[in-house]
Order: sequence, then C-alpha cells, then structure tokens
Amino acid sequence: MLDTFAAVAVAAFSALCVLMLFGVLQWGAPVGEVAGKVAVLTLPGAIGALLAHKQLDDDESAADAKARSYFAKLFLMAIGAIFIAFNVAPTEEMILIAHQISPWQAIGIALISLAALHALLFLAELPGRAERRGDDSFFSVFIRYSLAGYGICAAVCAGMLWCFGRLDGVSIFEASEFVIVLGFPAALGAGAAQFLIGEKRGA
Amino acid sequence: MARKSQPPALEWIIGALGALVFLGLVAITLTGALSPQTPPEIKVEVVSIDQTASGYVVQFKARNNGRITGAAVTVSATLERDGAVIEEREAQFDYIPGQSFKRGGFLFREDPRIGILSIDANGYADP
Repeated sequence: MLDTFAAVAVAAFSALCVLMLFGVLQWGAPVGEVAGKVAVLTLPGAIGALLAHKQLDDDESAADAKARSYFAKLFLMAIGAIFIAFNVAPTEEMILIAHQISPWQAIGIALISLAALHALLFLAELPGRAERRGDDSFFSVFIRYSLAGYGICAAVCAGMLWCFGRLDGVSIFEASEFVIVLGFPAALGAGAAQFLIGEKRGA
Repeated sequence: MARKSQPPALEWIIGALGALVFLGLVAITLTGALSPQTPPEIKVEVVSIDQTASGYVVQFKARNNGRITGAAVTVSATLERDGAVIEEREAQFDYIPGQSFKRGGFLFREDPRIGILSIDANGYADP
C-alpha cells in the first residue's frame, strides 16, 4: 500500500518536471489545467514506477507467482493493457490508423491481437510458461485466458477512448475499429504484463 | 503441482464473455465492411445561436452520412443582409468519420439571426 502511494508521488513529481521541461505547462497556467495534465500523466507514470521496481529489484522471490490465482492473472493483464493503451490512446495516430484501414484490415488486426496475446501467454519461451499451461487443453486455456484477456483489453480500450473523448458522436462501426486498433498494443501489454510486472526475468 | 481439478465454472463464464466481446467487435466491423462504402456526404445543421460578450456564436453539428471518413473537412458560413454578404466564416475538422458527427462553432460580429445565414460543407480529403 505504501509502495503504491510512493509510486504515485514519484510519478506525479516526475510528471510535473517533465511537463515543465517540455513547455507543456506554462507559468501562470490555471491550477485546474496544471492538476489535470499532471493527473493524466501520473497514471502511466505510477505503473511505470512499479514496473521498474519489479524489473530492477532482485530481492523478492518468484515463489508467489506460482500460486497466483486466476483473477490475479486477469488483473495483471488489465494493468498491462491499461499501461500500454494509456500511452497511445491520446495520440492522433491511433485515430488516423483507424480511419486509414478498411474494415477487413480491422478484422485482421483483431485476429492477430488475439493470436499475439495467446502466444505471449502460452507459447513464448519466457519464465513460468509451463506452469501456466499446466495440464489443460489448448481449447480450455484459449477460452479461459486468451479470450478473457482480449475481452478485458477491449473493455480497457473502450473505456480509455471514451475518457479521452474519442467516441463522441462516432458511429458504432468506427468505434469498434478504434477499439480494435487500440486493442493491438493493449493485447501485447496484457500478454507481457505477466513477465514484466508479475515475475522476475530469468528467475 | 498436482492440481488436476477442473477449472471453476466462473472462469469459463468470463472466458465466454471475452469471446462474446471479441465476436461482437468482429461482427460489428464485418457489418460495416459489408455495407456499401459510400463517399463522405456532409450535412451541417445549426444547433444554437447565442449572444456572447464579443458578438455571437453559432454552434453547429457536421454529420457525415456517407460510410467513408472525410479528412480536413471545411465548413463555411456566410451571413447576407439585403443581398450583400456582410460576414464570412470558416471552420475545419481534422476528421469526420462515416455515419458520425462533430460539433463546431462560428463566431460572428453581427447577429446571424437577422438576414440569411447559409452554412455549407465545402470539401474533404481522403484520410
């Protein structure tokens, strides 16, 4: 709990420094604007701070990773998806890509995203893989983890796009393409979260 | 690690929900793919006209009734009185996706409710 507050404090301070250095925050800007900009940058910053802590700190054992429950795994996937999606959702390029592609390409991206998520979770030669797969069949883990994970990614993306006002006045067809495009990096984040946040590399 | 027990039903339910979300997205996108790709057709409608401290603001909605996204859409407004154009204004939208709308506003010095106010979309670029 204390770790979390420390991460938020570090992230908020870093956000303030970076925003001032890059001239995003001007002296004399309204307090509301400053607070808003810092708050938006604090969320990915805080996740980044926790991630760096997990990546660089070798003291903890990886024993708890084995006992992680189903919901803890889904939660980790959600954090990974939020972390990556938060960094790209506000950019213009995401929307530009969604406008440029045809609906057929969007369907292709959705399929690739799901395949990439499944591959990261169960096929990649990364620590903890064999344990996760266990004795369950492909069909079983694909539905319970990969499809559930993609559903979480899609929900995260839709929520984030809505937060940034990207869905205002947009038809359901375009909105679903936005979600699919943003879902690709989010799915990669969700797949990688297990290794980045959850477990020690090479432990 | 001899955990051979069957996964709980809840895990299957969550997996099924995920599958539903995935198939839903694909189905919606597929519906969009199968409908005819009509070019951008942009209609502008005035939402409100309000007086402000420095003049008047005309808020409008630009709706793209086509299926293809229009980029760099320009909308212009002219205010005519007694056959003469007294004010011209222009606004631009980066994108108006198909079947979607965006909001905008024109700032006038004169009251746009007096005289003839015409608002039209001028053109677009492919994204």
